[in-house]
Amino acid sequence: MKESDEIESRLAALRPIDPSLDRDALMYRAGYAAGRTTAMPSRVFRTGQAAALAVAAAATVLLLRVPPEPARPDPAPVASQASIIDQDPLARWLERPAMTRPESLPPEAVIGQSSDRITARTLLDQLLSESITLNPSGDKA
Amino acid sequence: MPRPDHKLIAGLLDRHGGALALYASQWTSEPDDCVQEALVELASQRTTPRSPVAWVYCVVKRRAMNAARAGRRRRNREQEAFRRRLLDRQGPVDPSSNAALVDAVSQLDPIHREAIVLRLWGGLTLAEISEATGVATSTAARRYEAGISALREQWSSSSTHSENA
Repeated sequence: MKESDEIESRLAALRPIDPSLDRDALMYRAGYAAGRTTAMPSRVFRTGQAAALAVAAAATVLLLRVPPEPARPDPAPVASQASIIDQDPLARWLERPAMTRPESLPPEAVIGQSSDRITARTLLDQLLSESITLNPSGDKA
Repeated sequence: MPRPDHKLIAGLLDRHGGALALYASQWTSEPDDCVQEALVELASQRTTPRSPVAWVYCVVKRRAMNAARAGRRRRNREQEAFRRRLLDRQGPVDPSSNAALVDAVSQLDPIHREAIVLRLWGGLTLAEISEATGVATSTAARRYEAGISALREQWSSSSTHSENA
């Protein structure tokens, strides 16, 4: 250990020669480099600019490459309300004036075509009979 | 951290100029240029490095190695440049024994010699050496100790030879 210390102290006693540099020239160059760096935009700023340009270019390319939307086929023609009324006898009957006579009720055969409305037919019959009975000025009363 | 100012550059040149050139002379026979370029590079930094001393040594090494690669320097020329930098300015010790010691240092394993140069002549701490060389602090300490051990062995054998003679 003592020997190591001796070696270290002997080596440390040696002084390397100074570099043969022109101090003024070096300081001038250093100042010039510092000023140049200040004048230039930072790397982060330049990177941001480059990224923005890349994104803009990519967006433009994508915009140009998107195919036009294909023409949609015309929707199936929807049957008009008038045609539905013409085709359905029960609907045709319901479109008649509200106050009807019993004989104007649709025949059973017509009602039968609309099986889901049998209950409605029965109710309607009852209502009409009652209204005729309760109406003193009615023709049938 | 503020920008490196001219005081920092001048201080590094005054305090570490010789050691930086000695450090660079391990790889190139034109170490002064490496020192100058490294200091100019430091001046162009936007912020001062955490450890400017370690930073400059690191840059000097990189530039010296690049210069060596570009110029295809020969190892003998580098060793000669290294020796001259230490021997041209004589210390208080006997010049002949200094020459033997410097010879021994110049023939050390490069990674051991690098640690010794940084520690003894650069005056860097082990932490700064680790930052400059890019190794762990423990590795830097191990390299330094290994270099000193190798020098001690050479020194012992040379002393024995001289006593026998």
